[in-house]
Amino acid sequence: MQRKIFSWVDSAALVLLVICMCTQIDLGAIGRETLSQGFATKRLFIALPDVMLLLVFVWFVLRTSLLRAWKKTWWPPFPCFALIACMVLSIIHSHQLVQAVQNSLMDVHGIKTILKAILTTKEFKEAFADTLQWTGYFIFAPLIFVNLMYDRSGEKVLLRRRLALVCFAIGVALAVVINLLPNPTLAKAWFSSPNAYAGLLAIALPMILAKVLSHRTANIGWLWATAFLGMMALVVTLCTLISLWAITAMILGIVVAGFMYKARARTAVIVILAVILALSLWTRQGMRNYYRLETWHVPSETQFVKKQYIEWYVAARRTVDRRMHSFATGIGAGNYQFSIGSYYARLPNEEKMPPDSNNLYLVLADSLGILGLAALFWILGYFFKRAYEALRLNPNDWLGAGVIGLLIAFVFVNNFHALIVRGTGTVLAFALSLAIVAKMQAEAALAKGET
Amino acid sequence: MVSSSASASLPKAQRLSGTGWFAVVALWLVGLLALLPDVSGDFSVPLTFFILLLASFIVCWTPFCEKLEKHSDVAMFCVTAVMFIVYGLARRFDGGVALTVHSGIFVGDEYSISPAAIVVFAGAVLSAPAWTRQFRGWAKAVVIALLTLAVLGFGSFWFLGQYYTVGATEILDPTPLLPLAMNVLEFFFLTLVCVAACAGATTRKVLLKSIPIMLILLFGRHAFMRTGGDQ
Repeated sequence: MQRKIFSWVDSAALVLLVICMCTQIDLGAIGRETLSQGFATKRLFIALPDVMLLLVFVWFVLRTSLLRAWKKTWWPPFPCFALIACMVLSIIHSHQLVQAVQNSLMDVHGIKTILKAILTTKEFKEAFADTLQWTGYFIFAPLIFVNLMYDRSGEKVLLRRRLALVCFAIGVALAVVINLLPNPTLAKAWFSSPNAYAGLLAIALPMILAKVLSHRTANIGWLWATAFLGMMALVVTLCTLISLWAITAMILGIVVAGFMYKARARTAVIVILAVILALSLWTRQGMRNYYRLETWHVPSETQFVKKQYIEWYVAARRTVDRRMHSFATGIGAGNYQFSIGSYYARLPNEEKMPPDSNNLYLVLADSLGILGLAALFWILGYFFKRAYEALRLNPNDWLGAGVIGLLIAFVFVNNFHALIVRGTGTVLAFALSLAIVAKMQAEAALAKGET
Repeated sequence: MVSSSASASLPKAQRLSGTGWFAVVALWLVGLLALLPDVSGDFSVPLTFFILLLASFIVCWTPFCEKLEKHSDVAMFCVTAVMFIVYGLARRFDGGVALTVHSGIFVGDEYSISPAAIVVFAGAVLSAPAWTRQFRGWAKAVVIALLTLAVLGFGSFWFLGQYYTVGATEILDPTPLLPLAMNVLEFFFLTLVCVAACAGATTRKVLLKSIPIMLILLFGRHAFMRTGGDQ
């Protein structure tokens, strides 16, 4: 009975987490609003997926302890821990951050006041929040997702892969449907910016389309019906998206997934027809097209080149600042925005830049150094390999191809929209977990076949 | 069957260990060079060495080390993480023997190659047979990261060069390009040396067991002896 109740709660927790990760709802910013007083203060953004991740993690620890199932638990691989270690190293080895903490400790006495001074130093606050968030995305989230989707806590394996994927598709579909309204400024669903929203769709669609491409059945009618539905989903998504970079990433991901799955003809037909249909519909979306073209435009309203692209060179330049020990360990997790302005030198530094339009790789190279950037690639490579192995072990299962498509889209789109911010990292963790689930399932099927 | 495969693998292991020793020596030389610069006023350096020292005691001098020795990729990550930090310090010392290079592309750009960089380059060349056989996982990730940074840095410079005037006193300053290229190269060679040092079981074991000693020396030097040397 207890086991049954736990199983129900597990399913409910998984559903809630997957649905919530398709949003970026702000549950409230921590910190004082000081703009009315004439100066800005950095406030910490508390996203719904982060809170939900924490709640589900607490439940997961509780139920695993009660079921005494820790020995059967799958643990995230070493590269995930390596990334967090790199974040810690970037904090303690940051000249700027340590000096800021040192300054805040001047004339402070008593353990309580010292701790308060450390925690309220803005550089440390950002570093602490970032490390905590990334620990959630790269350790807690994969731990939860893999063990809830491929639940080995009981005598038999309980598979919740379909439940999670259906919820993911529903979450993405809801995010798309809400943007069918005519106002282009609304094209961000429950996300804090159109860029984060576009990024989610860019990585989600290759996964969902891989399922559509997968029907290896003799029923031709069913094949046509699913292909048509998939194509329509793609057309609707293309009509709501503003970022042309995200669209490019999405199509690249779908094509790679289709080719990996050896469904080349179907992929080509679906993508080409969907793009033609979407382009014909775009002709009726006057204002949206204006915003779309803006994403590919090099100049801004006042400069020859947008701040977004100028900052690429500025960020690369900061990595070679020896005073900051920048190249190896960066200037400290979460500290990218601090002092970047001083590295512009004579390059124009416009005031505003669209949110989440940073290059993730340069943000990482700056804040965590080359060690942190390498650790992220190590993680992506590790899970990419697992997805590829799953596909090789069971060529009929589409999930491995879907994860590969998603990862390719992720790698591309992060040049233009940083996608591990304020709750969005949970989606990546979900995809990484699916690679493990696909591999475990393929291995189990193989073992069953052999026996 | 077993004995034949064991005897076949023995020369390879010996070869890996043989050239791997050059890498271990190079890393230790870098560690010694890191004792020379003076970093007074930069509290992050002794703090980092203190934390690394504590971590290395747990990782290298407890039964945990035996597990680490079996996983070359994990050991490689630990060694690389430590050596990247140590090298960052070691290259601050030029000792009057540093070489200066000019890219020849832009006026006024020069870069000083430290003795540490020369040691690392020599170590990478001499230990080539070891790192060419163990190039995987973490090592590949570091190389991809270095390449990504180089492509984005040089690519964005080329792109901005189409719109802004280029020059040391113009809008687009090219002087960071040479340090960027040299940083990428230096850390690439350092990665190769770390890979080579962790390639053979014996060299890996010796290096892991000796890293805490290197860190004790570095922590002692930078926490308590803050005078003299180059900065």
